[in-house]
Amino acid sequence: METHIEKLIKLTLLAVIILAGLSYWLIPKSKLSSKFQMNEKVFIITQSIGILCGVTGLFISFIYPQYIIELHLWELIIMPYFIIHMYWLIVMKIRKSTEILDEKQEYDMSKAGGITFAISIPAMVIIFMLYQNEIVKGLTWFSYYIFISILIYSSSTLLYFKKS
Amino acid sequence: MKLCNNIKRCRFDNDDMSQEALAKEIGVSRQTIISIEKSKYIPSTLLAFKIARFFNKSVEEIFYVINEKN
Repeated sequence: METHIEKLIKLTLLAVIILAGLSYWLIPKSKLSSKFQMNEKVFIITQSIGILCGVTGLFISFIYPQYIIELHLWELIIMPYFIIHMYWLIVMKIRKSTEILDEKQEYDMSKAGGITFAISIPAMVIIFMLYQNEIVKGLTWFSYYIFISILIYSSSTLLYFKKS
Repeated sequence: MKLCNNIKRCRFDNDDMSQEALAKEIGVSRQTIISIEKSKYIPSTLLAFKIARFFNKSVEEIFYVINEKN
């Protein structure tokens, strides 16, 4: 049963990656390109997806630690975050520019990056201690680390952006 | 020292222009305009010039510095 689920997840991931790649190459050349816009809503949605992925990932890591890495569940959980960033890349390709955000958004993201880096170090120490005491087993530390980072980064970006 | 501005007054003088409309004209998000108006975010020189040029004013007419102790 688990092997079937793993295969299904792998196939889904592969399909999404292929579709994302095709979209990146084909959408800028099609009429759909006019519909791909970067604005405040997309920025907020991106950070909200990041928060949602982070919370879901941490929850699943806690509830099903044995499956999160083994069945590639963490990749499935992170997929919406990947897809929304593919959207950013498509907008960049359409505009032929990497400057799709305004200066405050970039500033907020860099501040959030600093906060995430600062918090991720003590978070990693705690995860390592839990790993040594066998509370966190196997490669589950990786999912904890990645989802904590995404959660902190997205929530602090959104917080800085909205704080005005 | 704090950088303040007259953007809000300029918007009202400019047919009660909304923050959204100004943001669109300048090419930034509405949240950025809100932050600049409230002096929570100091814009880059380029953005300050863009805002001033949009209102047909000099940068000094839009932005000014106050001493917070006063």
